[in-house]
Amino acid sequence: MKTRWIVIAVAIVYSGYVLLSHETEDSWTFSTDNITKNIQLGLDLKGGIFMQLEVDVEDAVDHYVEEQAGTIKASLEAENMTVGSSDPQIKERRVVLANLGSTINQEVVPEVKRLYRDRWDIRGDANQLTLTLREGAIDDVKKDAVTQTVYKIQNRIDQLGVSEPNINQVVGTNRIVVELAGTDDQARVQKLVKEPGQLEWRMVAKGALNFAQRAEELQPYLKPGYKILPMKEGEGFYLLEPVMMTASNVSRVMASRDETGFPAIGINLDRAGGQIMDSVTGQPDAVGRQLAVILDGKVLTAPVIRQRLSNSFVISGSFSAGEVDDKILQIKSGSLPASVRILEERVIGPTLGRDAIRQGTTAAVIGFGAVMVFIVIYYRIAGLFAICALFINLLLMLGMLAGIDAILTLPGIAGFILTIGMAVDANVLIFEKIREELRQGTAVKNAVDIGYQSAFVTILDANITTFIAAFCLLLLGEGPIKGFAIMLMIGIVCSIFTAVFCSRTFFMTYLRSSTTHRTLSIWPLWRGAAATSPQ
Amino acid sequence: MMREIQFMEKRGAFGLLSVILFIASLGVIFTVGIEKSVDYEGGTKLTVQFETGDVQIADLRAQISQVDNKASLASMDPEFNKEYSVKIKNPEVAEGKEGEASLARLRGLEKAFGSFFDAEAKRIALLQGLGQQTIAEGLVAQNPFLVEGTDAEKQSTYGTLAGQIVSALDGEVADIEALAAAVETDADKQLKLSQTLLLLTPALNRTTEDLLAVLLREKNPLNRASTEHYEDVARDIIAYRESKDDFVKDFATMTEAITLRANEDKAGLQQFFEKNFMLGSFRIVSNETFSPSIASEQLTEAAEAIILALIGILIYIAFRFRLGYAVASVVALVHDVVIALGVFAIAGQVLGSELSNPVVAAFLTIVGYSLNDTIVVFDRIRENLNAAKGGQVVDHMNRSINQTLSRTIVTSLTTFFVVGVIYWFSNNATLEDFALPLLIGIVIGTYSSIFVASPTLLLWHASRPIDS
Repeated sequence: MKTRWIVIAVAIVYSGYVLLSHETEDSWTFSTDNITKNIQLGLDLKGGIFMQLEVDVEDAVDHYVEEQAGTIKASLEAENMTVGSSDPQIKERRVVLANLGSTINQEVVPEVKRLYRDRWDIRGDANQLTLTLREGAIDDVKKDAVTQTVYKIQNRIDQLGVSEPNINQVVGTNRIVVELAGTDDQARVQKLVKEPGQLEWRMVAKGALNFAQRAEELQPYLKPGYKILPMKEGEGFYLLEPVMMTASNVSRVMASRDETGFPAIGINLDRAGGQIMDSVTGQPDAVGRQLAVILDGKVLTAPVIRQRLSNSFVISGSFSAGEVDDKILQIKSGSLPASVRILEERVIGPTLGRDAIRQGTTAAVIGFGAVMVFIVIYYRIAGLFAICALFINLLLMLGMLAGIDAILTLPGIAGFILTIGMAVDANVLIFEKIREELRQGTAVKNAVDIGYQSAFVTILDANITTFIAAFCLLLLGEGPIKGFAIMLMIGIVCSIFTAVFCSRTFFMTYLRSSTTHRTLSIWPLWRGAAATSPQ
Repeated sequence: MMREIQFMEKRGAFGLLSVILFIASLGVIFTVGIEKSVDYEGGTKLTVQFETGDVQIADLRAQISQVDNKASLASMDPEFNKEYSVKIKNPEVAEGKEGEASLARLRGLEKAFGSFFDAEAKRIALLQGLGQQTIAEGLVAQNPFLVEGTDAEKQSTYGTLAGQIVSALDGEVADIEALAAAVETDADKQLKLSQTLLLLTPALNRTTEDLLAVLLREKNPLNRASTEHYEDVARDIIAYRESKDDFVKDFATMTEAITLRANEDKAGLQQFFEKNFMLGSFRIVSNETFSPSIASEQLTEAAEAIILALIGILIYIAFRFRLGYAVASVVALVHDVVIALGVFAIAGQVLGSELSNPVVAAFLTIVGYSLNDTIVVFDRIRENLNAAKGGQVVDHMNRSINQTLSRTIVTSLTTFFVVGVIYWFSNNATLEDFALPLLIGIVIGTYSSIFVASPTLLLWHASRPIDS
């Protein structure tokens, strides 16, 4: 018995603790204000934009093949070869090189194969060489297109000022789910999601680094074209010279290694880009200065120039291989846009959820109140136990909701209210069985024991089937329905615990408090004074 | 001992009733059909809230039919006349252009809503007040034509454009689209330009707190340091707006309600708002758009979820009871779902209810609930049959139903009651969508566990007599 009360107390205290305490990095508070912080609301309740996007990966492959036709030609020419023509055949996913030659008399075809066979299937001779993109390479391009789009959106999302943006690829698909709370401006979000990134290359101006916080106020005094951008995490600001190159000058970005063998970002520029690079880094004071790569107003990296550079160079700097891949995709998102389809767009204004919470709470209070009144009239003292159990049930459900970080949605509120109605079911089953036993003349204590024992299996069976149905609801996608399913499952677990375990403990304590329990207050009030076991 | 009600004796009559209801429901489902909502059919569902109740439904209907002739309109609060929902099912959209189409549709509807308040004229006036310099700055920041290159290049491109815009504004332009058409010939650029001009003329009553903070920070009307935010001002404004039934009526009283720092200029802030914002007399409460491909996918997922649930439950019951019980409960279940769907189809005709994701969730809950009831009865039947020493199976069944009857009634009543509260008192469309099928399901589920499940079980037993 003691153990039972301890279990109940622990459950209550723990739920209360989860609901009422709130911990941030530097403070810990304990108050009822924290309930709203601890229960996470879905977008349909707090307002925001939910978008499901599909990256057009076929389009990305088309772009890739088209771009490669130019890049391959340029790279081969850089390797002392001559290329008559390089034609992309986009539908067939191949590039046809014609009239290959060499300026240093090397065997051309084996050399091309050496350079490109990892991604391309190469057939033909120097007159006409056909490079067909391999299946594996096609998959890579597709995968990159999706990741790149995720990066692009993440990179510019703070333009919206939304807190906790959620941008994720749907595992195993070309889809991206974007969840932005606190905004309902569709036009702004679409613009940000669909437009290609803006890539800029700027020299970092000499001698300008960590100066005052009021950097933006300096903006009007800057020379035309100069710009101030923050370094990462408030370390200071870059003063940047006017734009030197844009994405159109970058012909290829790839994973590479620096001379010491560490992972690095390999960059190939087009002819114009190469010339700009050559003249800028050829300046007498250029070595030792920084060159910033900027995407959508954010400095991705600002490497130090070590030597004079032209159209092919690497950016290195204690990157891990993973970081290199990330940066490559970010730089590419400025040059290789993958088009995006919007499959689903749900915009919820801030007032809808606020009103829904109020309406839902009203409905819950009315429903709960009426059920309480009915149960007390119908089961009297036993009904009071059921109601206490119901209160604990509510507390546990909320605590569990906060504890497992589940998200409360509008359908979830419906699930919550529905569960109140269903939660009394277990107690009703037990009480009816007890009444039946009492009617047959069983002694009170035995009747209670039999009631709980025999009803338990039924309760379990009945709830497990509802649980199975709720579980299948999780298949209904990512939306608010998930909140309903989770609420239903939480409700089932909590109601079994409270209705079977808690209310029985109340009974046991009640029956022990007096030794002469010949009657039990479990009959409806309208039976009046004779509301005792008709023994 | 209470007198037993002879449920099983009347099983023939109720069986007939169920068969008739079942066939009638199938008939209704296949002839009348069940209306699908936009999330299963593709299209847009939008709810708008007006500041006043002056907009009449007939006038609004006339306006929105010009946007899309398939658009349907319904009042969400007939007593106040402030909230309406617009549905456009399956609009024609070019593949890959879903985003553009949804924005164009939204813009069309916004113009329709704004037509009652001269919103477009106010917008044009606001642009005029901004002046060439500010418009040019806004265009550079948004870069609608995706000009690549140096800031100087952007400034010169958009400076010229802003000049053209200002001179076009001096003439007669009806709305932003007409303005864009006056300065730009390319259709794609026109669209991008008008979207940008819309961003330059935000409506305060349609701005969220977060976005307001960002807009204020960009413009910095109070000359705060660059690292500082405007969250306090945004919070005050939104709190004031909420206190005024979600609509700010004028900038002067709104600015009064803002707490500023000692040295900050309230009059200046008010002027800033008057210059850069319009008020706006309506708000889009919600706007949901589903492409046909995602819609049909969701429908398939819903069907899969229901079938999976049925199979899972069948297996569980067959495992816990015997096959006969499983078959009988699934018969009752199919009976419930089909009749509930039939009633729902009729409700669709009368109340305009449509099959949507919440409704399917409600139906799945019916599946769970109906079984819940059936299992309680079956559990008792099994118990009684196992303990039986002679007697007719049918009598044991009847006794079991009677023994569980009060539980069935009490549980059904409490559940029906709380769900009924949601349906009648919540005043919330989504919650009502849920509640209606649940109400239908509770009634039918209770009925079937007494009058359908047990007789079916009896039929099974009749063909395979059991001995305990």
